[in-house]
Amino acid sequence: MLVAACDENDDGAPTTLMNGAKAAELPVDLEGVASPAVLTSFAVRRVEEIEGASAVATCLRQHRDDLPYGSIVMRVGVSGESVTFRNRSRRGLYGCDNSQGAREEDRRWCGGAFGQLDGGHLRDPRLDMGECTTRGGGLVGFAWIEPGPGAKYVVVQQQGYAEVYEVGGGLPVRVTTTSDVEIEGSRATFELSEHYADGRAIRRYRVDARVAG
Amino acid sequence: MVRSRIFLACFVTAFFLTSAGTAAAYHTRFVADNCNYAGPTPTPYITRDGSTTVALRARYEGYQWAGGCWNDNDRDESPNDPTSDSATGGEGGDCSGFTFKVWRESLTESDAGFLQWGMLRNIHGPYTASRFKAGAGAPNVTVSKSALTNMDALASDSHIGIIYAKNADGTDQIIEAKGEAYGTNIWTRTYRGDSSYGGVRRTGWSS
Repeated sequence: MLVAACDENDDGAPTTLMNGAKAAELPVDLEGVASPAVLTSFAVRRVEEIEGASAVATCLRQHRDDLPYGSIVMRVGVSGESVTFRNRSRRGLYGCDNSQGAREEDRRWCGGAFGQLDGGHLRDPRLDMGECTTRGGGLVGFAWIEPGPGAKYVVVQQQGYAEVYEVGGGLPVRVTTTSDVEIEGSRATFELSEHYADGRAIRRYRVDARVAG
Repeated sequence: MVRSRIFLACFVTAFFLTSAGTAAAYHTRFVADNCNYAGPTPTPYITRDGSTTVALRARYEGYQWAGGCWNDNDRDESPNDPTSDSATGGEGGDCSGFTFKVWRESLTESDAGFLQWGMLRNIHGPYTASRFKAGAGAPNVTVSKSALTNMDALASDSHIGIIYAKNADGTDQIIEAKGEAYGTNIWTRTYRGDSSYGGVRRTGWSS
């Protein structure tokens, strides 16, 4: 009997997310995305729906002095997972980030971010890096992307595949990259595209994010 | 002749309009002309007085979002450049970049060594104020605000300042990279009494 020893499909794209779940099938073809695509998972919850012992609750407890407001978005990708929520003043955005690598004190979340909202928008992508790594020790960078009007999917080009994030919850999309993260420069580059629900491309761009503030 | 003058006038107008657009994309030459990417010098130990000296060299210098390079001429070389723009290339650290260098941090949490980064070494470090507040960085810990002493820090999710001295009235003299309009300096602050701020300590001081 032949047992598969990896979690990639025939075209080389990962088929499982970092929590071990099988990635759902992408319902549309994404215009201009040549690499095999992996659809990340996301869920939107209200504060009162969060169970006290859950991972999301541990994230909320980290920021217990600044209560959450509205939707809480949880995302799981191939190399990273995150939680995003606004604070009660609606002038701040919190994120908790996690990856597969080791971290100090066995913390549930390896990193996180806070961003001030000015007119409802972030001043910069609030890059988080340095503490979160892949199982092999590679750096993982996290950043918030604010998709344009009409965007249903945000696509991040990774090494050999494209990671697809659904827009939802009325919050910026916390995305991950492992392909261009530089510790000395405290920076990471995200190669992105945005798409309508039917897969048509809206725009393609690059975000050069830096750790700041 | 008239036609060529009209063309010239249009050209000059277009040139200035284009220049005005470029001026909006503000950029100084400070980092490009002065800063380097030299490796840090490991030191066997660090003292609070030593880090005070590192911090005071940055006093009166500028502030740069995502920055970490300054000289010691007591003048902001890039005053009032646009806020929250990491690409403006100006002088100074931001609050967390300043803390990273003053605390002589390493780039990874697995390395607890003490690293002397040159003033003109352009580096911010991988930690934001929010991450310092959570105790990130090696080897930093969160501590009770009542236990804080000089060269410890007070951090919120959006700012961090280092205690230069404690005042008798319960406030502190904080040395910090405060903002584009302020640069880096010492101010009397009430962070200790502000619930959004927590105490953070870089551990490993020899004295």
